[in-house]
Amino acid sequence: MAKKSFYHFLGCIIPHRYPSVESAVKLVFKDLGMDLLDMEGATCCPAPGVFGSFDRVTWATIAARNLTIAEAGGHPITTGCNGCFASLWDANYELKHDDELREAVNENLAAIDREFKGTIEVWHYVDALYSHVGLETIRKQVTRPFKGVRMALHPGCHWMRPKLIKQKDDSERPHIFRELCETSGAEYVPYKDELICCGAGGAVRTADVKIALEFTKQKFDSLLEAGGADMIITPCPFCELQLDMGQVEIQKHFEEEYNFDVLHVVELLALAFGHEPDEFGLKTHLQYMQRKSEPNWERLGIEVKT
Amino acid sequence: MLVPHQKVALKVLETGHAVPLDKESWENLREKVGIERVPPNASAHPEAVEEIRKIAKKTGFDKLVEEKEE
Repeated sequence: MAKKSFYHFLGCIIPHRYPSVESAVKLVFKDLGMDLLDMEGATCCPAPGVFGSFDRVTWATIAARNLTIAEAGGHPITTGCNGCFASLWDANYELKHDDELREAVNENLAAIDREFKGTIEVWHYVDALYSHVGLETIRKQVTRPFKGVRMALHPGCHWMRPKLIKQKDDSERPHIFRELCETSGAEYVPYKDELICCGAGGAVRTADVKIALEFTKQKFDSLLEAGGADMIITPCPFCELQLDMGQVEIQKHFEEEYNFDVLHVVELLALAFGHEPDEFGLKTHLQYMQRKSEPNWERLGIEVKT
Repeated sequence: MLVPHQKVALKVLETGHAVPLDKESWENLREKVGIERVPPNASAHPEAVEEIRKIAKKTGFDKLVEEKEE
């Protein structure tokens, strides 16, 4: 059977701030027999909070330009960012269902010799792994189960919402992301504020980082009240940045110290599949770089080869 | 429109990305994790940025987010 191929939409934060996620997903998809194809010349999705709020047609046109790159090659897109997924999936859906918008967008795209045709689909990594590979196949790849490691989840906002249109998962009682993370063998730890925003999204972090951090702090405190966890897993690099580097910023703004290891789900899977942390650069997370620290290997149950 | 949001929009028109590869240290970070120093997105394709500018000009978005005189 031919390998399943996806165009890999990198977005901004994965390739420019958390490249360990880009490196990890390449390992994971290769292990699972799927191809990730470069999207040459892809730009910002564009950021849904800023562009989507200011001008819908410009937002949809820039998103559609990205979609045309994949349409030309005839493969679906996958992305590991909730925000990019929101822009690309939503624009793709709206352009397929709103003739007036499609006409306006294609008039703009004509200026750069492009046309939105509506021939491809957009998948989040979570989606691609859950629906195209399946949990059973993923479990078979696990050679380093996170046995006894307590795992809190931060699913983020955009992958599942709006749930009636996206029909990915029940955004108020989600289970797909949890089941995917549980293939690693880690123990799921529920906490009251699991489903609130990390604080960064909706252009809040850009507008006022302190308000954004108050959300983050509320999540951390809620998790600690539930007994804490050995790691936090998210499917989004913007959430990862907010929860990871946000700990350094919280210390600066609120003089309170938190020490959580925060991993993208593909970093968790790369480790569970037996890859070493240095193969994809887990130590390059901005929290560790700024604190000059390392992941808590003992708590993560990882024996690091020296 | 808040100034920080305006700046994000301008950054996209200038580089193709809201969070750009704007320092050598970010390229070093990519190299450290075993991938090419510059990703195959608009960071490596100035013609992609040019297309974004043309779109912004066509829709009037460039005027919407341009820096205004006080």
